Amino acid sequence: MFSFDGLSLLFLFLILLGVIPNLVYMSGYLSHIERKRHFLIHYFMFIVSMVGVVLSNNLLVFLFFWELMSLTSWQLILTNSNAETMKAGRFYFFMTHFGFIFILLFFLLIGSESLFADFDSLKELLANFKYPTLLFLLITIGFLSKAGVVPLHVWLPYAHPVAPSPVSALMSGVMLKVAIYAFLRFIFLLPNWQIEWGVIILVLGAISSLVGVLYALAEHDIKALLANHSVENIGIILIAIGVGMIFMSLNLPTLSAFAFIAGVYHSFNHMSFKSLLFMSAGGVLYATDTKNMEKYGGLIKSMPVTTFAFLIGAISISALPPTNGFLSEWMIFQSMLGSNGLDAIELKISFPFAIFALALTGGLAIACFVKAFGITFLGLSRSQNSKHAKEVNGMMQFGQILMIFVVVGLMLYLPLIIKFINESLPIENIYATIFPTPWVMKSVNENFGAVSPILLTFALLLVVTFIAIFYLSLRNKERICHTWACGYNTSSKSQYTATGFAGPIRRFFTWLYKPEVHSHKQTVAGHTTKFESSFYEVHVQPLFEKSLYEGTKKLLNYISYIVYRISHFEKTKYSVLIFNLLVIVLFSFRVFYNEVTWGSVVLEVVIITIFVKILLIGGDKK
Amino acid sequence: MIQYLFTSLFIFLIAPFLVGFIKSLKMWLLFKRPVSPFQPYRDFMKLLKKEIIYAKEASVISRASIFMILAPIVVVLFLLPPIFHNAFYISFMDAFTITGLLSLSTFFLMLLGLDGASSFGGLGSSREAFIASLVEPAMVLTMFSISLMGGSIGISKATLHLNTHFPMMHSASFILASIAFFILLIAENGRIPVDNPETHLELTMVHEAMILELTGTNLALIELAGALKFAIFSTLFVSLFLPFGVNLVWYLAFVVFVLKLLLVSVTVALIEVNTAKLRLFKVPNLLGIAIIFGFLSLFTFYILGV
Repeated sequence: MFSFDGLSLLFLFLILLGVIPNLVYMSGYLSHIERKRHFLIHYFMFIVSMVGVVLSNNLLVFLFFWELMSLTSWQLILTNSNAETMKAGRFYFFMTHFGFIFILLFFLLIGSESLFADFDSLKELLANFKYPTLLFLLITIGFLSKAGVVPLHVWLPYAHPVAPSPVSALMSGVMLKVAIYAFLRFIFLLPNWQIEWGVIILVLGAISSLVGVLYALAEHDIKALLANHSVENIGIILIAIGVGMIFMSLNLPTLSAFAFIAGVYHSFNHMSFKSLLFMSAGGVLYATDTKNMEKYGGLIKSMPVTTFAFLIGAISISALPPTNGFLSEWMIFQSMLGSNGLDAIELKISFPFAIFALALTGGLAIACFVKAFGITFLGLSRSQNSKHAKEVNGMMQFGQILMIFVVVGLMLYLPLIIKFINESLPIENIYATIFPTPWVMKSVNENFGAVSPILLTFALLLVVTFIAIFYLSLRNKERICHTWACGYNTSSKSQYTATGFAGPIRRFFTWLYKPEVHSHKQTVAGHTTKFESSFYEVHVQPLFEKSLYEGTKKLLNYISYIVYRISHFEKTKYSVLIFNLLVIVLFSFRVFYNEVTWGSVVLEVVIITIFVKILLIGGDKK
Repeated sequence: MIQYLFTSLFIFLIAPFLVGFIKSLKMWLLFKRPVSPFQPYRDFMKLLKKEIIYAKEASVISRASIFMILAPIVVVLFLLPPIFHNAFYISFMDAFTITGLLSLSTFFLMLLGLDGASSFGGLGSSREAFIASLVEPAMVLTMFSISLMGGSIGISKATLHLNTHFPMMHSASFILASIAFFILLIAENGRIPVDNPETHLELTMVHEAMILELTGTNLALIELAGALKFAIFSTLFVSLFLPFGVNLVWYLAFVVFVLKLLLVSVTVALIEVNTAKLRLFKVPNLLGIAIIFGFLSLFTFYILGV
């Protein structure tokens, strides 16, 4: 029923790293929650179910824990029940079960005995299955809708902000990684990978990373911003996995192993810094009672520990050296450099696009976290809430400090982590190639990239010390004065806002954002330039939600209208309808279990068309 | 090892001169009486003696970020490619680390801009964030391309390889990459047409707006960081995209290196005199050219094959 093989233990380790600081943090946060019993029951059940998912070795057990994970997290989102959480909860419930259907279909397709078989014997069942691409698609939609990949990411920016902060940290940090675990687990069970699979995953990853970071930039709700960044980081993980799959199907096991390690290492890193960021964002929310970034400002003076935690997380998520976020992104770039060795020119040419997407994502992520950190913690308070903010309680601080240790630990113990990851995944062992010495990490391809986080940290510290000694030896006099504001008083209103900060980027990407601007000005005596008060608000339209989801809704409405029309006719029509359904079922059965020739497909389509014609047009003549 | 340390120290020392040289050359070209190219050194010494003023609104970030802006740039100084063929070089850091360290410096510079609660600082940070996020992909693509031509992503090794085995077959992609990198050199160092380092007009300033609140030693160190960044980019450009002279005897190699640095400075000065500053929303067009050239350089390399 349960197994403790490498992959399970690896992700159990990930869950433990994420959960332990979270427990400490949660115990501090608990006073903020009204329905304590409801929250605690579901919180612990949620953790148990995640552990259950990664340890289960049987489809039925797996499905049980997977569903339990969905339901408990759904209840956790509904902890503070109001209209907003209800909407988010409904969205989450629908999306998670949409994915669940595909997972269920996948299991049912393999065969009836598969539900009780363990994963090793499942591999044999899968090897005999005729259409592995179908299974691949089912896995992709099923598990990646939970991981939040574009275009199935829409629930994330709704669900994460309304959940209590420790839960957001768990959901974003750990639950998405459980989905990645499930994807990896089943993808490694599938036989002979096609090259297109890897390309699909790569493209999905590239789109997710860009879309995630672009929507994060336009966001003013600090937790929704972080949730959009989860979409981005899942995208980065999928880029690595996609590259790994492409290399694997081209029979380049060493390069593929490097890419897979990069992807899983990035999952660890994302778990650490995203949990940290959600914890400190939760601390800010706890202290100021608002999620709106435009109401923050100057929190660094009143909340030093939270600020420091957020800064560490921000540097790490922006992939700046020498943090762990930089190391995993470095590894992904290195594995892409291996594309030089490919033979297929069309594949080779597509790699620069992935490189471009990843690099642009990195650049925009820096801009986004300068915004998030700068507007929230620096400058002057923009509202009464943030003016009177106090540092969060000891337990919450301690939880954040523990998470900082996890972030730093993932960087410092890089060789150990890489070794653990390498030995747990069913890939070639390349540890000795990457780490000839534990100090320097080398790339596997012939271009000899190398990086050394420890030496880099040491060098930075050394230089800082030198500059500091030089600085102190000067013994300059110091004076404290107001910021120069061209003769006016420095006030919180003259600072840049989050909206203003993202202004240039929003304007550049107008074609994507299609922003809705509400502005209102109270002018003085008809002057166009002088005004007493002014109000400016920009709402970015969620493109995917508007087009894809509204479109689906319309399509479903239309189909149900047709069905409604059909279902109000005489017996002949009913019998045709039933016969037609039967024909389709029989034909699709044939498609799954027998060989298919083009001739038979054409014949079947013709028969179905005739019956559909009788059904629709034949009725109108009467 | 001595040559290695000498190189780093030399680039460190010549950096302010390059910036001063551009300035005086520009003044000469505009028929003004040029200032001495050694003026930045005098400014530096003068600023060290002055009193430091901190803003009441600013926080500890204002103090800490000075170190965090300068330190990564100084570290990069030690990772630069060698200018002598038998010199020691650091082989365990590569081009991505260098771009990452430069971004780290920019990150803290942008935080510094937001720290003082002044609208100028925010304005500078916002614009810098916009430009830096578009520079990043062009930079990575160019680095990829040159590393493929040089046979190594470690730029020191690539430099030496380009010097001995110049890839004649890939000259097209070499030239495209070099144009892209030159645009990045201009954009990252805030020269005209992306940013004007000499004005304090809110319509045009980017880099100056972020450091408007700084005084005394802090200002001196940030100016030094700016000069060092320019020297680093010039060194990268002359090592990777003008790959000759390294294999000569050490004194000739040194002379060639200095001449190449001066050539870059003269080019930048000529561009600055002959172009107007672009509007902020036209800057993406220029950076777009860099990105497209980076793409084209990679494509031509891939199509021609190894």
